[in-house]
Amino acid sequence: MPATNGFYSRILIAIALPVVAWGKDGVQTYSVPKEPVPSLLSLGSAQPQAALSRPLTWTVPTGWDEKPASRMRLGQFVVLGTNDTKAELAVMAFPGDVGGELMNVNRWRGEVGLEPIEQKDVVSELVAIGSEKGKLYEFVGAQQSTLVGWELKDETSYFFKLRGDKTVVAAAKPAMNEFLKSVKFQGAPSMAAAESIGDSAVANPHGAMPGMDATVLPAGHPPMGEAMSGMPASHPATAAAAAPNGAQPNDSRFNDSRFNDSRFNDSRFNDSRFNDSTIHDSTIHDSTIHDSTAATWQIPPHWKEQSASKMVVKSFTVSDEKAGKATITITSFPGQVGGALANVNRWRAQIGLKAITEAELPSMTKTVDVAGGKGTLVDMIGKDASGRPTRLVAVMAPRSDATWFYKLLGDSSEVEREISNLLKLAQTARFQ
Amino acid sequence: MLSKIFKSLASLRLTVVCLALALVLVFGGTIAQVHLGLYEVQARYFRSWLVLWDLPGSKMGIPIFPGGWLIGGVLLINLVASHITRFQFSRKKLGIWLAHLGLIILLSGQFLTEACQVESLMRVEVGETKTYSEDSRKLELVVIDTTNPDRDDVVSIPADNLANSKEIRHPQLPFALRVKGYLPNALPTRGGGAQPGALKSSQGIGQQIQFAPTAVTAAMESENSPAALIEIVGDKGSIGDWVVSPWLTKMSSLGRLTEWLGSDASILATPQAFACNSHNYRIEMRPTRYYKPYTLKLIEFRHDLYPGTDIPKNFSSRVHLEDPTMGESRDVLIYMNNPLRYRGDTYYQSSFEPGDRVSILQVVRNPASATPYLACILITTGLLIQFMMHLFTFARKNSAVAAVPVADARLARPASNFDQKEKRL
Repeated sequence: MPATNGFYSRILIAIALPVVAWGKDGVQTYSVPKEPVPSLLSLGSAQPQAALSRPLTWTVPTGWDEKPASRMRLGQFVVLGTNDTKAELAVMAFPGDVGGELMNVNRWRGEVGLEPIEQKDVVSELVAIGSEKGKLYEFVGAQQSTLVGWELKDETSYFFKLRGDKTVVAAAKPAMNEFLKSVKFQGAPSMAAAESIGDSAVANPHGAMPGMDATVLPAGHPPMGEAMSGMPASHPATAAAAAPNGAQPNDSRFNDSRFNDSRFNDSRFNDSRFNDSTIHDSTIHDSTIHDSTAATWQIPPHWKEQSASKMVVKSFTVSDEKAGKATITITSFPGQVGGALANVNRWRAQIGLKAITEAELPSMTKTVDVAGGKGTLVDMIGKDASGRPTRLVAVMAPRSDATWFYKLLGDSSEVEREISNLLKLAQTARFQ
Repeated sequence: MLSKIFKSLASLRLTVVCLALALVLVFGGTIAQVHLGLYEVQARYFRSWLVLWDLPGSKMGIPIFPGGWLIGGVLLINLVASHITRFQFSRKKLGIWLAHLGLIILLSGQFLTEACQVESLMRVEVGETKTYSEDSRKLELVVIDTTNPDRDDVVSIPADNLANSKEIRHPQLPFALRVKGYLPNALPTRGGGAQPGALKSSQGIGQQIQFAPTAVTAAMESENSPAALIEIVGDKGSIGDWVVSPWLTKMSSLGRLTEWLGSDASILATPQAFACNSHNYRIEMRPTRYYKPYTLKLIEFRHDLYPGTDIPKNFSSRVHLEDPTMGESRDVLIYMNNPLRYRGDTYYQSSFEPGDRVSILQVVRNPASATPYLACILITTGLLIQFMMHLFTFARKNSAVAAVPVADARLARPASNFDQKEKRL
């Protein structure tokens, strides 16, 4: 034997020491040169217009000074009055109804020093916002006043808010109406702005360091870094390269021309990547920021998937020469979203039906099986905006932290054909 | 006694057991990823001494299997012990020695990497100068003394400590931090009255926004955003309580929060600050920062496409490195497979933000980064030597056999099966 017991003891101690010292992760103190406080101000910095992929266009009235869009604003303008008075118009888009009419009205009233009011006292006028009919609210305070144009389109609220000196706002009202008329909707708002500051990890399926606020490199992008040497084989970056333990990414194996690989020809790398279904993770509704869980469904093969918008998790169309057309949408919102009655009445309003009362609700709904429990089915026939008969069938499927909505809307015959598929959709949902 | 222990540690049986356990662990960990997600599995199965099973209804964990560190550690000890007890250095064993040494270095290097490697990201905008990188999966509660007009004195407490702490004191702070509530994952909410379990504070943002508990996510593509209600208690009693959360500091979360708040977002512009003993403080929970003794300024970010297509051709960041202490002041181009290596940090081009104005650099600090290279060289050399020695011996023997007449050759070599059959015939 080449060694003694003392020799062995020393070896054992040498191995044990680092093991014992492992994992110390305590409080640290340090001093750094003073830094600017991170705040809203840093987020409000102008973002290159191209990056925002604006969903609206408009004609700027004469005398309005257009400012660069920011991450928070699709557009902003300054309207100057006399004696250094001015007003500012901001164009914003938010998912859903942002807490409802009354909550927003009272918020806007509060901004100009007015008392809150009740729903019955809310006053608005119908105005043209582009080719749509929207609402215009006016709040006149002691010194300041606000004009807000509100268009709820594709389950997205577009706000056009002019606020400032009351004389400037009053004088700018005709121009504001013209401005609203000139608006053209390009489609659901791109999430370029929101998602760029959203949870990048959502759009980070291939293991490029999740967690930062970033657009990821394309799928299949060679993994980065010496990180691999320290990562277990199961780490996505290592797994992607299938590198042996300790192999470095700067190995010549990675110096290939994989950027030419067809994997990069997918759509994830153009702007439309922000319109995919991952976006609903940043869904905001009512007064809670909501992270809905990724889910999968059994989709009937004849349903044609459409590009989902910010609020819509999935969207499909079905059509038949004889039966007509229908659309199917899947949405998810946190909590109970106002309960069954509020949602039924919201849908009834969409197809021109009068609201019902709580007492009438049971006769209008039916309990059905959905994934993970029971849901509520509602079936209504009304008319669309052009007066055509429209049928709406919807399933509300509550889960612990959110409610999922499966909505089928379209020509009555086609809707009738698809009801069973809609129920199957709600029943086959699988949540991660 | 120690000699006996050492011998049992050196046994080949232990090697086989460890390898078998590692096999089961990898299989189990892979299956567990379905429910726990990658990062949780890494922490529970591979970066742990023991795999614990959470006793339902309690916070107690029962060990059910050896963890990655234990198996790897025993394997390393086994390898070292067998090396010492079994192998004696000789020219003939040189190859085996080198191969085993390479394996030991590989395993030790992995342990060292686990212990010392720091991975973080540096988000830098064109024209911006950065002195730190951040780890968004590892959060810190910071209390910053902002009294000095030139410097900020920071006390950083790992956010994980808050989960199990009631009160935190630090000699540099003239007050105690009392943890009144901690949510491992929270969502901002407001309106609708007080929500069960939600954190609301008497000071700062928490007066306007509540932070409600939400399910902890294990999904790889999402992150938990904890929130804590911290009461500052000075000598004269409570100064107030504040809600802290990465929702209020992380660029991603702050952006979403700002959008959600709409015109009320101005409430976020006020930092959560207080005064105590004539000092001004700020409190926040943010991604853990790693400050550098040098600065990097992003001069240009390029996102080149193949002409006429959306296919990316190149991502690169031209940065200016400034390090007065080392006399460094130079521009560096970071692009694929061409990282910047400086003072132990390696900067890789990792990501970018839409608009091509923000580049994300991955920053890796791994003091053991050279060990895999060294290990591979040693193992390869050792195996080559071993095989070559066998080859030469075989060739020598063959040539010796060929040199003698057939009859003599039969005498010269031991009887083979073939010879036995021949005899029987």
